[in-house]
Amino acid sequence: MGREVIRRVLIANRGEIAVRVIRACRAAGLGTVAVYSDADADAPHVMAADRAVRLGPPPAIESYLNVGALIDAARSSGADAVHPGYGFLSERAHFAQAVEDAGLVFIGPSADAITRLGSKTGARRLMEAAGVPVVPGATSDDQSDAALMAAATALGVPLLIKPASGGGGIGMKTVRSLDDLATLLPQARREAQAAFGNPTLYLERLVERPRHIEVQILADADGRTVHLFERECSAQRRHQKVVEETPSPAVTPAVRARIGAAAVRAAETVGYRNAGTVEFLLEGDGDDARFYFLEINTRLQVEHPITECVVGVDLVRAQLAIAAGQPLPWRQEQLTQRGHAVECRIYAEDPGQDFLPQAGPLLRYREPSGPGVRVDSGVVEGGAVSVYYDPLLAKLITWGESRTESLARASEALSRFEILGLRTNVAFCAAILRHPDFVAGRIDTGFLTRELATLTARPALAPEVAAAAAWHAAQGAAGPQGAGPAATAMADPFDTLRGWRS
Amino acid sequence: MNRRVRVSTGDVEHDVDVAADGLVTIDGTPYRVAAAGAGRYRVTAADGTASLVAVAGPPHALWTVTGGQAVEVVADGSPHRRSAPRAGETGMTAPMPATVVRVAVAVGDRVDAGAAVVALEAMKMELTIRAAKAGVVRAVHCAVGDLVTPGTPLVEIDG
Repeated sequence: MGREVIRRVLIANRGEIAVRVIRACRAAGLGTVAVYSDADADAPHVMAADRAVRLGPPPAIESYLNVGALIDAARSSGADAVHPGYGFLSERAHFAQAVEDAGLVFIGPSADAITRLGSKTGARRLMEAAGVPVVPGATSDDQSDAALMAAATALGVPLLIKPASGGGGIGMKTVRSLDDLATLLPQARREAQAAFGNPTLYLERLVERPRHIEVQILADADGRTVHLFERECSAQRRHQKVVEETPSPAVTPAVRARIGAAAVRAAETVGYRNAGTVEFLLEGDGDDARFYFLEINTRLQVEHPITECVVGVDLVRAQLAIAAGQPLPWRQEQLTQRGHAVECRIYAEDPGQDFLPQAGPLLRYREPSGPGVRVDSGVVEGGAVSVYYDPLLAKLITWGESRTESLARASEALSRFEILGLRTNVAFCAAILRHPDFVAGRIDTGFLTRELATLTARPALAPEVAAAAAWHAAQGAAGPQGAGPAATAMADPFDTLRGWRS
Repeated sequence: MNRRVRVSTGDVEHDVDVAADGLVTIDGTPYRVAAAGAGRYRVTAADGTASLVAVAGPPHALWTVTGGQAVEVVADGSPHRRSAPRAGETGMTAPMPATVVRVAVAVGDRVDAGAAVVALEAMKMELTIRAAKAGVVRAVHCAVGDLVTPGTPLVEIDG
């Protein structure tokens, strides 16, 4: 494959990932084009780019999912490549195709690879044929309740119902009794249709107490493929990851070699190019642990930074180079892991109310920083979190020479994260990091659900907090304008000095 | 000039005495509060232990955070009482912005406590709204396809 010239990249996304991709493009000397909906006109990703193009009204279907508007934006802004980020259109083959048809470079795998891997059933068949281990499962061209119930009966419970073209755990249902199928099948079908536009369902044996282990891969245009080791993503809730780490405390060097080789084989089987993630379930312990292929995510993952920290590679930079037709600069044996990294996903959600997504103003938003601390975020103080998009505010990533050190850095950094104006899961993340099972590395994908009551316990009102609140309120009430935000702002004399403090 | 401020989280209330020099007393225990710049206060206990607390928002809806732990409080230093707690936490109102995907009851239906009455969809997830009590449906305020916002009444039941 020849070299493509990339000079200006349109980032077809928003939030932290758009900001992160824009920074990598700028570091590579490339121009950047942000896109935005009316809800995001002043968003950080818009401010970060060289230029910005409006897509449409706030609903994603009219903006970030609007293929026509995105292609028009790329053309009108003179972009020659498109980075899809994650979510939105990143794993839609028709988008990758539309980008290529417009004469632009899609920074990701080919539309054909996305199509073949986008169907869980198709991907599974491909991997089975290539000798990559898979979880026992069943699909059927006949999607009637009767056919699916027969398939479920043959597999036995517990099992999972999955949307065939799904991802991110959306629409997945656990079946513990065959009697529940009558209710769960129509519900799963409806959610699959709503989320992915395809009601086809897939059934799979539920591996009890598995770990979720995924392997980062990179493949260049000539098909040279390497893996960048595993990520442990077992701390998830309703199949949404919350805390990820690498290396996994459960993966031994022998298993690491086997799972890495399996991931490379999986990618090579489909002629994969660019960055991707091969997801596995891991069952059992030690060198005898078994792993099963789940799926290949044909995009950059939310949790990619922990791999970057430990392997010392900028994955977005690598994506840009691969898309430009450059060969991978390393061989497998040149890639090594150093130390340990952990990521906490900071969501606008209320752990005390079943993690309901929260919207509202960011009255205060201060990120921690320091050695080994990285925050990828897409929000700023004074901004607002809207109801229209994913409630991910930021990702806190910490690195340390050892797992103990990176977890300690994460806990310390979380204690300095200040987000006021809407509820977040910061304290929930901190509770996970200090839970004895997590500290011991003894978790599986059911950990968060089992320990939810412990992890979401509300703390008592500390007297120091009451003291600060009372003082703050008293200052405001004593002010010339009475109680209120304008008056309370006057309580802090240093605020007025802000102008000349460096 | 001392002021008395009632600080409440909904579960817990403290009556706090605030002196003009930053001496704050809670149930007889003194704390020293000093502005620490940029919206933070340094609160020092009698034994010298200090913590930084960031505070934002108006007194009737204050947000505080210390040690990564955010707490919402009402700080009432005026004669009027604060308004009633937010409605809808247990009632049959929409808890978040969502689309109505199913309405399982009609006016006149008898429902048991906990029965599914409405299904909402938001962020690609379904959420079932259940009857807060047993009774007869008096009113249905939503239809399939409606966009609802937090606090929108969905169904009313006479117990």
